[in-house]
Amino acid sequence: MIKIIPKLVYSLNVKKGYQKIKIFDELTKNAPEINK
Amino acid sequence: MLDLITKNASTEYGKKYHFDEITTIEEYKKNVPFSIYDDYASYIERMIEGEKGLITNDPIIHYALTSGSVDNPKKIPVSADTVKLYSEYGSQFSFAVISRALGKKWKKGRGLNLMEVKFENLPNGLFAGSISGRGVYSIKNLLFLMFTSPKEVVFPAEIMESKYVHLRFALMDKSLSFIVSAFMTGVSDLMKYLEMNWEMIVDDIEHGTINPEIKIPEDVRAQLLARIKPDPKRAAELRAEFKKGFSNPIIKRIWPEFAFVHAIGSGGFSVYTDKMRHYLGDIPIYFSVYAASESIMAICNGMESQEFVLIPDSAFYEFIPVDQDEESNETLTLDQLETGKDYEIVITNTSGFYRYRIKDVVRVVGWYQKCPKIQFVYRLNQMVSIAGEKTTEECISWSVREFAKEVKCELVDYSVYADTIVSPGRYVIIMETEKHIAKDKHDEYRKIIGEKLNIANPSIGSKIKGGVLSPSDITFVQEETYALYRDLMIMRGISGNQLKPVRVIDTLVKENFFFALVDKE
Repeated sequence: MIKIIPKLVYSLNVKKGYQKIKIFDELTKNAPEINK
Repeated sequence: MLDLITKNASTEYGKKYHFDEITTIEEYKKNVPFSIYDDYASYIERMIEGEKGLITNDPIIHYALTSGSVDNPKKIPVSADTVKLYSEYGSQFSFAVISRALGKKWKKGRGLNLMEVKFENLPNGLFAGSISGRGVYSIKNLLFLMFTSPKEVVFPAEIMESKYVHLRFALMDKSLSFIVSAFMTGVSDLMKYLEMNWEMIVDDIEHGTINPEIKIPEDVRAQLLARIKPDPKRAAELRAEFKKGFSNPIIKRIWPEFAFVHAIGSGGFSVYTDKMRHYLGDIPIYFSVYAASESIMAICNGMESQEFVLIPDSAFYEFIPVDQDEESNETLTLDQLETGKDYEIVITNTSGFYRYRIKDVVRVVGWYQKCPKIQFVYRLNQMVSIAGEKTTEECISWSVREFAKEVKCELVDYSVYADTIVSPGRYVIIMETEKHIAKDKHDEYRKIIGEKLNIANPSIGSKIKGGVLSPSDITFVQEETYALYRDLMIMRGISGNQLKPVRVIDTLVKENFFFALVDKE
């Protein structure tokens, strides 16, 4: 049990992080327009 | 940026600079001057007393205490948006990059968290404290599922021997996955402490005790002891590994599932990163972010990468080429930057800072998509200039590393002191090495460091020749001097999250401390 909980928490974080990476990739493709 | 200006047109600052008339970047640059903290200080004092709408209409939820000055730290307002960005990038994004790189090698066990939350209350009901502490605070309910470090040490009410507590609990967990810290100095100090004190910690694990010599408030000691049981099996495993010594990387031997370290460790921190490699072996490092209290500016998108991709939606960025005439107010936008060139970074953020000179110089080292990859090079207010020669942190770092290579010594840490007691003034490099080096060679060392400094910044050499600088000198401090300085700062109440390396001896406190510990053997 004690090992499952951190794994679940980090997995959830990573899942959200993958979405953030996708968004970040789009942002960097359009960086000059976004950073105006 | 234009959205920010429109949103904040009704603020006092917005009215002062006619934000309502600004429709283009060019107009923004023309209407709004560069700023520094002092331009906002009086507004911030009023904000702390509860006034709103002064520099931003965005909700401010925290004040970041900067690591700058010990006696009067700046209080940087931090918007809810900035905290959100810190959380998304510093935690979720980072862990996803690590997971993508390591796959199943990261088993997602608990980590050791060296970032502490040390806040003071402000009259407006908000907290002031380090920005990294704020990030930890935002996940406070999950902390004890994610980390071995007990709440008593993450939220310290009093000063205590925190390294012991972190290690005592982390060593009990054989499945420890990683260490996270604001800076690599903290991780390196922790491992040094382990090397010096493993026998005591292992004895305590065996018997379920906390050594009475450890300085912890009595109520905290009682709370921690209530969560500890004797573990002779784990103690025996640890003892067997520690007895083999630290010359082979220790971390994987005591924590077989250990997968990475997550800490800022490039640039000025790299001597500590080098030291950590000795404990880590081939375990990789994630170099985290390039950030300040004002903004999270860039992030690593690969394991072991020391190049940081600018985050295009975290602030509006302008760049001043460092070789530009000082009288010129021209700035470039990110698409106008060139690889290999150095720029001072200027930000406009959601917390109410406009065209704010953060005083950092970054180098463009490449591109990710259409976004610059940058590296921190030096801080403008950490530049040493006795006679107009302008020596950067990067020059000092290069010189001491080259010196260490040539005289074959292992560098622990270093600083520079502008000695103006002698006339003309001179550079004195202060250095701590792993082992004593022969003191009878002082003239030779002085010559070598002088040569290195002259190569790193030829202006030093020409000013010595011209008689406006005296030849540079070098002096060595006793073992553990830099670690002792950090401990001293922590004892004075500075958060470990904020302790950056001392690169310039620029205060009387530092001067008295380091020169008192010069190795006279």
